[in-house]
Amino acid sequence: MKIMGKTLTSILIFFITSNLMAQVGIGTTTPQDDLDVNGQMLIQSSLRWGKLQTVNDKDENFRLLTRVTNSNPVGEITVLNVDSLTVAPINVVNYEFNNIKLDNLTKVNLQYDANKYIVAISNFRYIGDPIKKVQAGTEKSIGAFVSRVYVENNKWHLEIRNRFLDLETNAPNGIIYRATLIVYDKSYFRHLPVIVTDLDGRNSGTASSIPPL
Amino acid sequence: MDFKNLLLFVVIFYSTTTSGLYAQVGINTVTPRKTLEVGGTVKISDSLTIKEIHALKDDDTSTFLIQDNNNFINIMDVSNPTQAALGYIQEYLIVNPNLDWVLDFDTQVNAQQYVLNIISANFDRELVMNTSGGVNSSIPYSSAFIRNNTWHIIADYPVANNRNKSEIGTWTITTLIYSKDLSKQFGTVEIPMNNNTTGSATAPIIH
Amino acid sequence: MRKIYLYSTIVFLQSISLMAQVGINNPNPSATLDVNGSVLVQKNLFLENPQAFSIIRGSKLLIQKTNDQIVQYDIDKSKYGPINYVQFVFRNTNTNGLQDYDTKISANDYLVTVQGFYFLIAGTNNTNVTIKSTQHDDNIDGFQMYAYIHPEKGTWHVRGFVNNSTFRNDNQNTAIDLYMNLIIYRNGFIAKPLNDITVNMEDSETKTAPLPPGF
Repeated sequence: MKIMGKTLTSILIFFITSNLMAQVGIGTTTPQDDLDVNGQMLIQSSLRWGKLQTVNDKDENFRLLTRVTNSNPVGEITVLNVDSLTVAPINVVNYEFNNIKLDNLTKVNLQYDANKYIVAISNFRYIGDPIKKVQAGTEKSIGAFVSRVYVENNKWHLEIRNRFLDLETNAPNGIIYRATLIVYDKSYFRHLPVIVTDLDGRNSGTASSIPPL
Repeated sequence: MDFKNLLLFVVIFYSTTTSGLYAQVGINTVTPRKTLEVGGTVKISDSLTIKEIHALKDDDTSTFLIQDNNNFINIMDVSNPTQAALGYIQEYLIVNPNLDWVLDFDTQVNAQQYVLNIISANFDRELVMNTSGGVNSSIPYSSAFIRNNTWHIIADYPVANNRNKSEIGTWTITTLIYSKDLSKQFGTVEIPMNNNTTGSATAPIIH
Repeated sequence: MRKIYLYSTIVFLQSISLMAQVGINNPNPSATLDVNGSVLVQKNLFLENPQAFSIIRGSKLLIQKTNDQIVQYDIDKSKYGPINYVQFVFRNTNTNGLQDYDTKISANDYLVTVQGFYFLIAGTNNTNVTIKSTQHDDNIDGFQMYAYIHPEKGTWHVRGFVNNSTFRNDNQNTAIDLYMNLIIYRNGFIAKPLNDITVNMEDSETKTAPLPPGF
């Protein structure tokens, strides 16, 4: 027999006329299935696999199937298990901000890399003293309370404050802010260009374009 | 020889030489890298059981797998710009509303195919109250909602107005739009509060 | 590609490449390997170059169930999605706001967030709702619109109110219809909770917050 590299294989091919030996084993003499591969299998091209069943409404705790692109060889079939990942596709983090100067979280650098993550703000809580209105002619200014996340210098930042008014310096309790930030793995999302719409002074209207979804 | 019931199959045995080398089989390939390597396509009519499916690790790069209507297993590469994405980031700048009031902004995004969710919203002008003798105030709110099968946005400091009426204000609203692969909709749930401050569901809407 | 029938013969590995298609239980293979039946792979599987599909409409993601079976993930048939959306409308909520509501949603299985809210005068489409402090007419109070885990019940509760204030229709207290968008993540599917982060601003308006590990 010719030796090729490290593999040495001898193959016996039989001709049969009936279904007597319907099961084939590779690396096993006792196949448990029509084709039983006792080891790893690699398919170079496509896999066409008789219509799979579907999940039902009783199933739970299933995992998404994935294919690794940097395995060797390429294409190992794996599952997404968030317990095995330090960073999941979606990460939920409760934040608290205390010892705040008046009401002003003017700029908090959350440090999440904006090339890799998207940050959303939710579950907002303003816990503490009110801010006082200020006379503005015949009207009362309430300033503008803002809570938002935004990107600057490629990092996500957080702003929570009243932009035009401040908490009194002698406010008895001060303010604590709480929020749940959701940190998404950005690779699951496509970033679309901003859509600018001028409503021309109206309270209703239609976006100037539809996102290309 | 009766060729009618001809079955062709291959039976492979381990063959060890004196040095105990491991045997691998190739179909349409002369250099199999695994126990079985198929140098081409595979079609399986019934089930495929894979005993070892490892979990993704932190440094793995990966795609999801999908099955199409012809039963082919394909990859769903969410980072490929020519393919459909699992979700989208869409920022809206709503310029010059009725002072700070956006009552109904139609994004025209199909509400049956997508879930649109506001991840951040803010308005850029100072607000004043001029009703009820100034004893009241306001808080900012924003929300996506469904009307006529598309996603709309409401954003406002209710009853408040721009302090400087000639200033044009802008609502900057960042949204995530999730495809149907990523999101399940449970619709609108009416909860009668009967003028109370507290309540309790009889059963959760999601189990 | 030719199909080759062989009699009982010992054939060397090299000649496998001549057999362009192999059938198992299948005299007319239409693929390089065409199995009319089931396949068992005792270790793992590699798909080196499957097609990338440009249109995914009609395609379904694949999942592995807890019994190891691989099935299609039809989100319409599934009990939950990775992300779940519901709009709660708290009709005729007291002027003091929604102080507490038990959704009965399991805190083990889900992560619930309030991402969007608005309110109208109860029973109407009227947005002219203002806030009035119960303490002092000059107060601009802060608000709280959030979901939290009730420690004893292990369920998610929702609250939506303005601190020490009531909702007003001009000069009178009014009940409201409170609309809240809940985005609910299935815990452990593609979302997971990380440890809480507390940021001590140290009486400063700017600060760099700590990052969770791995980010």
